[in-house]
Amino acid sequence: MKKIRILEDEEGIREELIILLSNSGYLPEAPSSFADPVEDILKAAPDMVLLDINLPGMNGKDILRELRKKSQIPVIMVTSSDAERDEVITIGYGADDYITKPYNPTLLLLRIANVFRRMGGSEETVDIGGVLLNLRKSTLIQKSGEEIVLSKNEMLILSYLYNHRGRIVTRDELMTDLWNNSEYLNDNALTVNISRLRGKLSEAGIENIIETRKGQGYILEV
Amino acid sequence: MRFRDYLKDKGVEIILSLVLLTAAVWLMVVFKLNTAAVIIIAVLILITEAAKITYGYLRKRKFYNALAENVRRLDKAYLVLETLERPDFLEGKILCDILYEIDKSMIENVGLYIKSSREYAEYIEVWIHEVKLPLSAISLKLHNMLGSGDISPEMRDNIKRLQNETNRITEYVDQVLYYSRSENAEKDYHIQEVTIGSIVHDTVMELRETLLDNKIDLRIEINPEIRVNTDPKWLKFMIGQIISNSIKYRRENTDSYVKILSWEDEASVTLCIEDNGMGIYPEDIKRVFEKSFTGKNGTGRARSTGMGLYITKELSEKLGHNICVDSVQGEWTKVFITIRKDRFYEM
Repeated sequence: MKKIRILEDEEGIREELIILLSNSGYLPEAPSSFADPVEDILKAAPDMVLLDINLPGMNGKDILRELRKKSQIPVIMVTSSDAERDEVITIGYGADDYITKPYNPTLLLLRIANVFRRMGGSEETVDIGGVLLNLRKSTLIQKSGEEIVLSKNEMLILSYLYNHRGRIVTRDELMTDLWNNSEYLNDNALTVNISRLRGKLSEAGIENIIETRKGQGYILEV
Repeated sequence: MRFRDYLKDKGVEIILSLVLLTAAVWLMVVFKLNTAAVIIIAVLILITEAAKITYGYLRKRKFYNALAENVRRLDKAYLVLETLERPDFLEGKILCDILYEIDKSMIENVGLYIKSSREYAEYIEVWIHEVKLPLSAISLKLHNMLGSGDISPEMRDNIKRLQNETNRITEYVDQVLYYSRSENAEKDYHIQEVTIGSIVHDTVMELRETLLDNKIDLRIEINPEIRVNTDPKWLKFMIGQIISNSIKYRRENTDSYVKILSWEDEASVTLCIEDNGMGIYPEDIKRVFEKSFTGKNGTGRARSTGMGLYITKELSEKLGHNICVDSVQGEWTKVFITIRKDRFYEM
């Protein structure tokens, strides 16, 4: 499990972030004291830091600058105004991404997932229930060697489910991911795409790999 | 200052001079002075009196004409004192001194208002900053409640409602922020070169939930290469307001859509946001950008403040963009934002 360190001084937000990230399969930790934040980060060695720009004592910008002298840990900067965000972008403090409050929680999860995806080397094929999924060519490779081509939407849905396999993925998350990739689907279109994807998977010989959890979402069990 | 008016103004003095002249001539005739001498003295008196009036006129004409003319020509009439030479006659000097005092008091007074409005704008910025923290906490809390698994469908609906209401608060908070910015005289925008597609994308990502909840189909047809010079935040806010209107004024029982297109020519880039909503009444269409204007569509709904399009127009003017709207009532509305390619604002 990926460990994410949250640096946020607003207690209400901090606690909700912990719940949000644990529900999404991450291991969050959030200190409530910011006495020596850079050393603390280095000691805790998280996989990512979610860094609020306004902190008591040393502010987020200085923390990031100090941190970057010693480590290349992925950092997502949280700003609460456009002016701050502009500054983060222009000056190039070395943040991997940024998000402005009040943010959409699903969008935050997506940003986190994207940063991790960029960090991890991209595999060409992954194994889904005995069938290979070629990520570059967007195809399912059957045992016979025959390839089934997935549409862009089907591919996005399947890779999102695969990247979050073993936990429930909400329709809202899938929708956010699709929209983020400029596929502005509506609710019906998502349902249609999922049933087409199921059709292609069963054509490739894997049945019922995407389960529907009523009222909650979908889960890919591999 | 015309000579005729000046003469009218000097009427009493002229009559007194003429009385004096008549009296002098009469006395000289009574004392039997030489006729030639009487004529010479009379002419001398006439010339002197005429010269006195003309001299007085010429002296004042220059000052008052310049004053009147400059007040008319100046954009800020109260600066007229700076454009005048100090006159050499007493009334002129008194007038100048008084004008100076009036200007000073006015500038002090205006200064107070500038200061208080700037402080107010600063407070609004800080306040919005602060109010976003509880809003973030609420939206996270609601999201976590939805994600906690075993909740009743009724509870789910309630949470969804709360999420919608929270989104509305966020939208209104942003409106206040941009209203304050659009009214503020200071330039606080930053022009950057960006692709129009990325701006539209960021805007619709933020409105995603509202669009989906209201079952509005989104169609975007934008060449990803098209670039514009604009302030991305301001333009995002503007597009957001327009799409929000499309959502508010959709037609029930219709497959609603919002279509966003863009095209360019040598001089400009145009962004068009089209919907198949209620449209705008022909008598309202010229007034949609007016402050607090709600129109026939707006008055029937509690949600209309009449500020959204006004702020959008103000921001657009500050950025040097052009915005206009076209509509057929009951069928469709199209809003066009035209962004010029020459960078006049960078000079």
